[in-house]
Amino acid sequence: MPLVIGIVAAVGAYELELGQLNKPGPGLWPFILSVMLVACSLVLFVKDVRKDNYEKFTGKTKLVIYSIVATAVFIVVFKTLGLVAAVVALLLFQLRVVGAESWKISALVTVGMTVAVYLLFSLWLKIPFPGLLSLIERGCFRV
Amino acid sequence: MFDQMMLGFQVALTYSNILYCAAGVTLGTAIGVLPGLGPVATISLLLPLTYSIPLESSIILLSGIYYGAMYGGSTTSILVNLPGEAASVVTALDGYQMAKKGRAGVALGIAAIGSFVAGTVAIVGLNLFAPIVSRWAIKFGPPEYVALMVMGLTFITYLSTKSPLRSVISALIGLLLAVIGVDPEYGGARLTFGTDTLLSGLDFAVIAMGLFGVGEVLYCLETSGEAKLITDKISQVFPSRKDLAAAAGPITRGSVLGFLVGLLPGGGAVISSLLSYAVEKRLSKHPEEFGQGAIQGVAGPESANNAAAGSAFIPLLTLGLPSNAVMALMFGALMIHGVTPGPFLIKEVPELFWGVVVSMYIGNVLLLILNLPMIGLFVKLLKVRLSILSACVLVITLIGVYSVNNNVFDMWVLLLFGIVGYLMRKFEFEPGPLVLAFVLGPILETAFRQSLIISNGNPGIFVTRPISLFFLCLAGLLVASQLFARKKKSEQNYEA
Repeated sequence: MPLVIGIVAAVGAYELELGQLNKPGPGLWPFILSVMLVACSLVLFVKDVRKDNYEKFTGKTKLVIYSIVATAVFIVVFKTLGLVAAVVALLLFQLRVVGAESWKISALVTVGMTVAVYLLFSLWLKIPFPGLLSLIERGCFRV
Repeated sequence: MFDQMMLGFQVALTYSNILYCAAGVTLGTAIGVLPGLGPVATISLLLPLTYSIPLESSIILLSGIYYGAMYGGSTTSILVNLPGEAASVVTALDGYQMAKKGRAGVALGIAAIGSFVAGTVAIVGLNLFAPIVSRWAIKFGPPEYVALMVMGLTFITYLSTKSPLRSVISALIGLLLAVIGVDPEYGGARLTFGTDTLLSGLDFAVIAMGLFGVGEVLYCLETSGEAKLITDKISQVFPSRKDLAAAAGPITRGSVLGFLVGLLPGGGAVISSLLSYAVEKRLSKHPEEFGQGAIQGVAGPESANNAAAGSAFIPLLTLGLPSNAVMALMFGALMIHGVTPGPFLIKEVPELFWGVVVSMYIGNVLLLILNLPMIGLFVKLLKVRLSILSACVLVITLIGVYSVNNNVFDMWVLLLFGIVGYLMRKFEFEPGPLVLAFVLGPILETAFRQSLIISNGNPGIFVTRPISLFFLCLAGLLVASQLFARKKKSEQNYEA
């Protein structure tokens, strides 16, 4: 991975004009960095490709993937429907499915956190949130 | 000095700042107690909040979390044999054994007292030395800064991990990420892949929250174990006279050692506690007691990590060089408010420096109260399950990151860096050097380009100026010694 980043960055930097040493251009610095990065990555590749250096992915890894997908869904819901819907959905999912808590605890924590988040961010810090529901809340659709 | 201390008292003793200080140390103790959530993750979570409160208050709050966590971390080490945060790993060795022998209270007590003494020593040091160092550092020009930062980054990568090469890669990626955005001199877009959203660069808070907050949560999902309390009844937290006598030496040595190690880039709390444990074991007349519940093995490291937490502020506030990941976050918080940490900081915003120093004295006293009579309350926190905690942290991080710029794009960046942070932990890359390098990147690049302009394109400028040469030699020596030690080790392995 770092190797790919290094090569992309080196090409990108080269296109930016390196300039001269006494008149350093915008690309000189990133170019130096990316060359070093490529070199280091190559050394790492040669030195330890052995598998035992890394932590194995276990059965619990799927919990991580669930959480990543859930977070992505959260962002979409957050943008379209709004803050409260997204928070409730994410918390319920994380507690009940990923955390394997009981329904009772999941519900209690979800309600508590949703209220806390709403009070803190929306009422106290007055952050304008996106989404349909928040617009209705702010009275944008009042007839 | 007297006038300045008075200014500090004026800042630190306002109602709101006392409150921020108390909130910081309480939160710090709490997250120190909770395994899995360390000071780095917590401070990065709170970064968005610093946009909406005054500068002094936010630094008072954040630093309270840092040194508060040093106190709290020992509690979990002693009671559960699971370090609450990385700097308390060695405390578990003897602290847990003490708890098993029914001396949990004494272990907690001595850890709190050692932390208090060392914390105070470090603040006095910060108070006295920081202004002197910054007067000296004003003489630095761009080449000196380049050399200093190169040395700092070298120390950080070599001291902080098992695999220096991985840390170097991590730091280089951080430096490259810092390049994204508008060129500081010519104003052209760089490495933005033609998009407008990346034009203003990546936001420091977003990267930190992704790598440390979300990354940590994801990693914990997979690795978390159950915490088993050895006892939830803590009695007799005040150590006997005999215990105090045994601990006095280690506390004193730990304070001094920790203070010195904290000054080094890459030093910080973790290494100082490991070093102190080694020193105490070597000096002890009964080294066989170590690992069996020796009080010296708790007193020394716990003092050392607190002293280091305090002295780490000196390079940040005088040279503008963050020495570990927490200091990088502080650096970020200062930049958010338009203050560049460096030799001019104490002169330009005296109310910040002196206010924070005075608040640290107050915070330390508060911590002693929190950690001696009230420790039982925090122990109850250990009953909160990690699954609940991590779900809440995830939600707060997501909304927090949105609140920085009211921008949904930042949430995607957060998720991306969360995944990166998770994978880095998986493959044993340290996220610390990346964040540090990201913070230092723009300054390092500007200094580098200015140096080349000064010298008319001759890279020799970095080795012909004495201070700069000195820093580079130090960095070179470190690399050489590490390579040498490694080679020797592999030869030994080969022979065996």
